[in-house]
Amino acid sequence: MRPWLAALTPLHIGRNGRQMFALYLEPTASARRGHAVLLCNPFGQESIRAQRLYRVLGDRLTAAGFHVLRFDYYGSGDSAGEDEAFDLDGATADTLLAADWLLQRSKAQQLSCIGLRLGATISLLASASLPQMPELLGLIDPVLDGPAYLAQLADANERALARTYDARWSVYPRLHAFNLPSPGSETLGFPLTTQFRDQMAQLSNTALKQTHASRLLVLTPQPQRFKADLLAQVPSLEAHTVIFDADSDIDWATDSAVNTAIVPMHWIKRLINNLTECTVDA
Amino acid sequence: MREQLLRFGPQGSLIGTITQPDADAVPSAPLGLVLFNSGVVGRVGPHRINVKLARRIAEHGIPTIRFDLHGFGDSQHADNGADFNEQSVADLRQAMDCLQRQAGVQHFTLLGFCSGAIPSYLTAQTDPRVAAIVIYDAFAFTTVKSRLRYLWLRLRRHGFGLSAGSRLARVLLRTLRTGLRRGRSMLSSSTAQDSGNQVWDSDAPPSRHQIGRGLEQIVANGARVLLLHAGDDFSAANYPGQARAALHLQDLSGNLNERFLEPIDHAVTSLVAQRMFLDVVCEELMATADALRVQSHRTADERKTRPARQVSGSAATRV
Repeated sequence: MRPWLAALTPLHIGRNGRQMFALYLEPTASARRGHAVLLCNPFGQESIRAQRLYRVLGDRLTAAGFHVLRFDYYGSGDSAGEDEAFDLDGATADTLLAADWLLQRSKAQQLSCIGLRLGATISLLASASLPQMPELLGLIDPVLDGPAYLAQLADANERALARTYDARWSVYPRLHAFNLPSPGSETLGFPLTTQFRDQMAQLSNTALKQTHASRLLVLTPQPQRFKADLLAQVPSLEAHTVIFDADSDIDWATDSAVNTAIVPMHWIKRLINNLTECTVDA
Repeated sequence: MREQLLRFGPQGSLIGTITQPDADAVPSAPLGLVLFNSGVVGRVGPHRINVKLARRIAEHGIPTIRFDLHGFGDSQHADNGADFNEQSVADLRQAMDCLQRQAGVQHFTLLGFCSGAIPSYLTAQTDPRVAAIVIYDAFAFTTVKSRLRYLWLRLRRHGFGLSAGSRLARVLLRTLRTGLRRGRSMLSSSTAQDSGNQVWDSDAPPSRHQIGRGLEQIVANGARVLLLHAGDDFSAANYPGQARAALHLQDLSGNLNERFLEPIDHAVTSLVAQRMFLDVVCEELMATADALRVQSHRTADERKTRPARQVSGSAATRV
């Protein structure tokens, strides 16, 4: 066990049959802060790719004294449920339940959430209904335009298959028929159900309008564009928002370089610094 | 089906999930399945394939542990200085111990998905509890036939013009050079290489000859081997029977098999590819479970008949 970690507890949380995998990281008593951080996963292949980032982020946050909960939404990762059971509303409800569990278990007075890609969106959507107003929402490359995201996923799927089969993809049409029997209904190994697609189709900067947090920290490869969206949709949020250039444009929705662990440490440092600043007992 | 999360291994540093069949579902098979990381992908596997496999095979009465090796996924780092292969084998043994305790099974199938092939292969060589290994998309070696098939594919893509002709000449020349080099190498080292994994070294991967003999040794020890190859990297594997030919595999027991999964890709990406992969692995698991049941009945029958023979033998002695 690492010296900064008092306990590492894998457990199931959830109710009404929605059993979810969660990993609770508890800091040592000497470093412990009254601030808990919930990590919200992205969707599908982006979640697989982000696993290492979340692992390192969770470890570093715990070392800095924060209580941390990592979890998988129902129908994803190690949680119960088929892939088809994943949807945006369900994931948002799961986030609320996980936040509630984390606050009760840690007895922390402050709560923050961090999410990458769709995980950032889910934390935004959940923010208004969290047990208490989050101190900070850390949004890494958030998905704000649902239809554009669906188009990106469809494109990523086509590109991945063409790349992996190389010459055969253009020579043998039967590979298309086998691997893409219903284009648009799956992406990089995960189904895109009608329900999920309908939910994403309605997501057009609506997530930002539902934001409820003391502070927003945004790491994005397109800071100017995010700022413009923010001003156009929710100008009142600008005063509470800090936007940073992610300083790297990572393609999370790909299965190429599957063996590459992506952990931008400058993101982790920035997140921890900002969380520390808004921690009452810091 | 029920699932349990747990920490196990030294200081609880390994994290895994056990999937057990419902007690009233089907009679438990005498077999457990061990799933672990493929490269840096966590224990859920690429596209969650390990989760799907564990839950599906539980319907057939086979329990599973899926876990993260030390330093991967959610498991802690090991601090004992062991190299990757040593540590992985130790971790796999810990996972078998854990599943043995939790589910009461004594025989195991190890699924070596991509980079998981080497730890599975090495563990099968040293642990008699391993009843089968399924090696997915590893140990791919070319043959003359596979090179020609690959060449044909490239020609079909690029056409049959002058540039394709010069490309063909270059590839043929390269094939010839490789063949000569390999022949010289075999002649110069034929006395040194015949013991499978025992000379395995991370810095000097074993030859196809060593791997072939190592796999045969695993089968000779009573375990089953299934080699699966995906069809996306045609330069590596491209026809059924290639592994048997490339590794010069000889197995008369029928326990060393291979399948070329031509339409699926290495990461088992599309949903239909996932179904095909799951079908093939489940079929192999059921075959292994059946073989273990037959073996178990045979052993039980022998136990029943043995005392009878002893009695009649002793009676004869007395006469």
